[in-house]
Amino acid sequence: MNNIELEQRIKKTMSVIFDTDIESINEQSSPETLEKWDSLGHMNLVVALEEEFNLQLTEEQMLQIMDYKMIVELLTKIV
Amino acid sequence: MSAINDIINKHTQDSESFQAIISAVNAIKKTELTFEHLVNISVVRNYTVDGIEPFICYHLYKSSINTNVKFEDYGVVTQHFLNPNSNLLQSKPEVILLSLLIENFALDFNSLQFNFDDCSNRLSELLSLIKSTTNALVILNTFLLPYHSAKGITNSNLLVDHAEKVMLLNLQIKKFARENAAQFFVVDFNLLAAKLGEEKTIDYRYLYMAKAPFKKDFLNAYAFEISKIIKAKKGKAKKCIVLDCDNTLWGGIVGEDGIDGIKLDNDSYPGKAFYDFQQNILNLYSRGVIITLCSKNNEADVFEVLEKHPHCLIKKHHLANWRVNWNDKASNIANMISEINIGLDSVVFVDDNPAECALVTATLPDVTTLQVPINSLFTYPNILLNNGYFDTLTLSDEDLQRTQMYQAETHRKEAQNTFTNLDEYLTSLEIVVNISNIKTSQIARVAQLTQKTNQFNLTTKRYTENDISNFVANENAAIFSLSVKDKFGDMGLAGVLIATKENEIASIDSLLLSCRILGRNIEIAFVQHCLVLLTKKWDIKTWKGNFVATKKNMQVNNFLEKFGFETLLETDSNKDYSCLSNNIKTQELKYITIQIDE
Repeated sequence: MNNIELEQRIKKTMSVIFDTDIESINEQSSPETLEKWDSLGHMNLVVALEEEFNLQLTEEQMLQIMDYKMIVELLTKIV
Repeated sequence: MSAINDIINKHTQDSESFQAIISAVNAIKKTELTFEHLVNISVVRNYTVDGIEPFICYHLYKSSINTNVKFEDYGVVTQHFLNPNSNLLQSKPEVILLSLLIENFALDFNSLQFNFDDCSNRLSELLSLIKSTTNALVILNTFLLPYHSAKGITNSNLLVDHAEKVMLLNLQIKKFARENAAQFFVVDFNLLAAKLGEEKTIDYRYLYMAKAPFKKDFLNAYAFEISKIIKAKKGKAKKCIVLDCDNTLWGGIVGEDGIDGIKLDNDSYPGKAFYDFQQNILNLYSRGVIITLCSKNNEADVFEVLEKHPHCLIKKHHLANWRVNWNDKASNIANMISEINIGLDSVVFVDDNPAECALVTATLPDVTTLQVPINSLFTYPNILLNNGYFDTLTLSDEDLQRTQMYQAETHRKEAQNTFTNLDEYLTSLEIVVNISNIKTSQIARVAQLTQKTNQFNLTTKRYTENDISNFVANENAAIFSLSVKDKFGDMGLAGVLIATKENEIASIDSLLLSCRILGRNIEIAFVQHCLVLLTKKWDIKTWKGNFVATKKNMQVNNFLEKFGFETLLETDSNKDYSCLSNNIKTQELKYITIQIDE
């Protein structure tokens, strides 16, 4: 999977979970910019990313992905 | 297919994934589509189950039920019920979802010193408290059996057996629900966990990090069980099964293989799959579901199997009606169902032939069509049970006698053909109508009729047994039941009128009749007697009534006008009526004998 495709899939997943347009997900996206990214939203995000990329995140990884950039950084490494 | 289901299908046709469900639910929330029903659900829980919300929406939206799911403040569960001013009790939700985990209910649960008696007593107190403080329908859960045993393999009496204690608590929950069957329903977590397995049930990461133990698969299954209860409450239960015969009731083709060549028995495959399927049909029959056949066959061949095959469980006397001929199935079904006089949306059709299924789906989209899984017949026996299509909140004597009633209806229609004059025919029926102030034994049936009646229903208000009991206790309300019999049979309790009064004004809150008694002016006799009786008893000067339009009740659009009611206000979906008591019109109906129980 190339980076563009990976980022598109992350954006799509985030847009579904946080109920927003895919275009509005960008480098700055974080709990501060997305209203639905609260603790429940974060749990849903983890579940959705695990489903999307067919993997299981560790405790450390779950706590680490606290904004868009961190998600991309992590998934680039492990997908 | 409704616009709501179109949106759901668009999102979930490739897979019913978590993301697909979330995006379908969010898409529907953004539309302004009209739903047939609305339910307000308040969730009281002692752990994080908040992730269930989209799943509840998803399963209810599919049945055109809109919902607001409100999570009460996290904390001590009893406080919501102890304080009469709590948000929960003040908001009077229609449904309360009480979701409990044993570990958070009894903090010492995981210890080998677990105090079972204390836990059991507190559970009893909580359930009694809920019963005494709310009339909402309450959905409980059983506690999950522990996946690991703290005492190891020993049977020693010296240590607590947690699994056994959980089973005892679960029996206590089920017993309480059974004793309060009108109000309390149980979702059995262990049944769901057994289907899914530990891996798809518990998320140990979030159990520890967020007190959120359940995975999405479990939440989805839990929400589906909740939706079954709410669908039943909203009158969504199916009433009738239409069955094909060859490769549906038995394996093979009776016209070619002969009665001895078809596959149907109790100990080989696939014969047993068909046998078990028939057993499940009979169990549904025992719950009051109407069984019919629609098959392209020679009638004699089919009935030979039904009457003579040693392993054919379904017999002719189980059938309310049938069409065994070579006409197209869509017309056959439409015609047969109109004879039975129920809505097409109450019908489930089962056939092995994809072309027949496609024809019925295209021509009669309201019918639920199921295709026999011919390449995986081991999944076939439970096909009608998996989705809770026929689930009702309660069972009544009428359910258990339903088929006899529909058979009598067929005899009535046959008799009608021998008369040329309608009055003569009606006189020949020897109709006896009993109008009664509701009796305690009738409460369950009356509630059920309000939940299930769609066509002859003036306001389509759905009531639980508790709601009906509240009317009974209210001296400014009256409920009349209508029971009907004639020389062909007893049609049971088939009509309800609920009225309320304020000073000299009385209002018709609800009026509904089962369709099987229509066409004989029994409805006129019933309503005019109720109006006259109450006018006298309550000294009423003015009657009010209204008609609330739904997709299905247009036949009662002008019904009140027959009694002299005049329209005060009319909108697309509602008509308000009133009528001075002195102006109520009545008619003489000589062919109906009326008995009144006050």
